[in-house]
Amino acid sequence: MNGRRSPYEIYWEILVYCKSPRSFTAIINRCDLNSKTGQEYLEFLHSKGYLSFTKDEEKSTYIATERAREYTALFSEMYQKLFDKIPGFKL
Amino acid sequence: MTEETLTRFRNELNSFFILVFLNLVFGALAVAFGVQFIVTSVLGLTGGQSVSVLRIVAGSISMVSFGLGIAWIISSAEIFEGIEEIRTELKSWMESVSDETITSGIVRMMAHYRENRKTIRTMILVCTLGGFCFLALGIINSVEFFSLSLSSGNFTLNNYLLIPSALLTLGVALVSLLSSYYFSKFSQVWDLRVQETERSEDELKKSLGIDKE
Repeated sequence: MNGRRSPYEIYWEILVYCKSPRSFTAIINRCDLNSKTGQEYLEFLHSKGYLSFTKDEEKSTYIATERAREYTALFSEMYQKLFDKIPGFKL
Repeated sequence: MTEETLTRFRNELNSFFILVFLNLVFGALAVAFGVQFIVTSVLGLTGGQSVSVLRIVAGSISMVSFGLGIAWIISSAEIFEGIEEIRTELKSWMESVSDETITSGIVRMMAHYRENRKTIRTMILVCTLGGFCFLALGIINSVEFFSLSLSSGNFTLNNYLLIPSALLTLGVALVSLLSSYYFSKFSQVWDLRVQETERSEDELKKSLGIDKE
């Protein structure tokens, strides 16, 4: 996803994508982040308990926790409300 | 709410797509007319035609219009690319889509708008200036084929071939001014949405527990 996104939008994208276990590379590719910023976002979400990290012999993966649902639901509600509250554009 | 939001989002995106597409078409027409006027107004002078102030003014305005037409096409193409990508993705969605899919589309559009806000503002300015330039060209062109006798109250058509050209120029001027109006409307709606998301960030901060730090 290109364009200028806010950090909250990036958090939401990561959490939605990590509903199933994802590797670091898959997350940064999907969310269009470089490894440095990707690491920062993942560390933040992990520290807040929204992402859990599993490391086994083969690979390391991230998965969204139950707590993440609260955030993603609130975010979706807020963004969809933008189309209900504000009169839309029409030709 | 999901279905309703999806319909609104889809309609809005389609309206904006049509507007940007029309701008591309009329931008190309603006360039073509600019060239045509430059050729007839400036190069025509070498063919032994008389030099009139009207011709010099028309030549200058047509050069400005040509430049504005190029700027118009470049700006439209930049916006068009992003919108087309979002629309293609939207087309692939089935009738009933999840909350997350719709939100993802809204986030993409929001990011696209933030990135192109400056370009859209330029478009509003370019379309307004272009509209007035073409309006001036249309009027000058009309003056050239109408000659009005004030004493007798008669008017004469000097050259019938100039009528379609004058009408088309006035048409481009009208579309250009309308585009500017619709781009302003679009910009107002999305500026409000961007402001609203900035306001709701406090709530998201609370949810993430950032406000306590």
